[in-house]
Amino acid sequence: MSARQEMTMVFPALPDYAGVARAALSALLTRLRAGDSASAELKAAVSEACANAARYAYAPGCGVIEMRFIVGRRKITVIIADHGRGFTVRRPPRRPLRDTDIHLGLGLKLMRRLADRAVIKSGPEGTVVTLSKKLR
Amino acid sequence: MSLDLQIKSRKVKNIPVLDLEGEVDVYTYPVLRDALQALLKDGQTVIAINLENVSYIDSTGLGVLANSANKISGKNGELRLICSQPHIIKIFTVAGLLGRNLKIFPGEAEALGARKPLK
Repeated sequence: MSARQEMTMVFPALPDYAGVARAALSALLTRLRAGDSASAELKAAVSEACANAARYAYAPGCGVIEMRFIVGRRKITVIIADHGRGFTVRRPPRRPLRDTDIHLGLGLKLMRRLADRAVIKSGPEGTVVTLSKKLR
Repeated sequence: MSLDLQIKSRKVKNIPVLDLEGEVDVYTYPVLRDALQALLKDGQTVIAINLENVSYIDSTGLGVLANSANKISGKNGELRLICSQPHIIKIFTVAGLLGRNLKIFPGEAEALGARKPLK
């Protein structure tokens, strides 16, 4: 694949679409011939960002997530953005799903540890998560 | 690739085994939660969960498992995960959830015989 290429997709901020976003990224990574380990780790990190946006950013069904893929020669960057309520990165909202004990903190931890580089910016105008991974 | 999660339940040596197939994420996790809740309500304290056919698990799925493991921790129980897939094992390791009541075994025989876990 030639130098820098970009693709953007916009989808409803609903849990149903986390798998759809993952499938799109999976198809792209296959086309880029990314390594199995790098692919699995980036898919997991991106999925956490999408899931967090679906869970926390908006009232159910009231917003969209924008996912932008930037493909370079050796790495891929995925930017996941919402325009929801945002949170303080140091102190994520402890608003777990009622029937689980899991919360945003674990999702952030997975993003930071599975991506080569993770930048999370959040404020009253929304959240932007930038995740980068070497392709192989 | 499946975007859904299917669970089949069976018993081996009187230990309930849940065979999962598909993806465990923020959309599909209620299927796993309900299956585990039914077993916990039934008084089961040792439960094996076969993840060999799970292609992905996210923090929501991890939370359901950790939550169930916590519930049986006072009863000397444990969740025994069956998984040999490196990318799934890595997610558990990175999350730091494995411990006394939540263990991963490389195969069913090891899990049901409670031999040494992978992690």
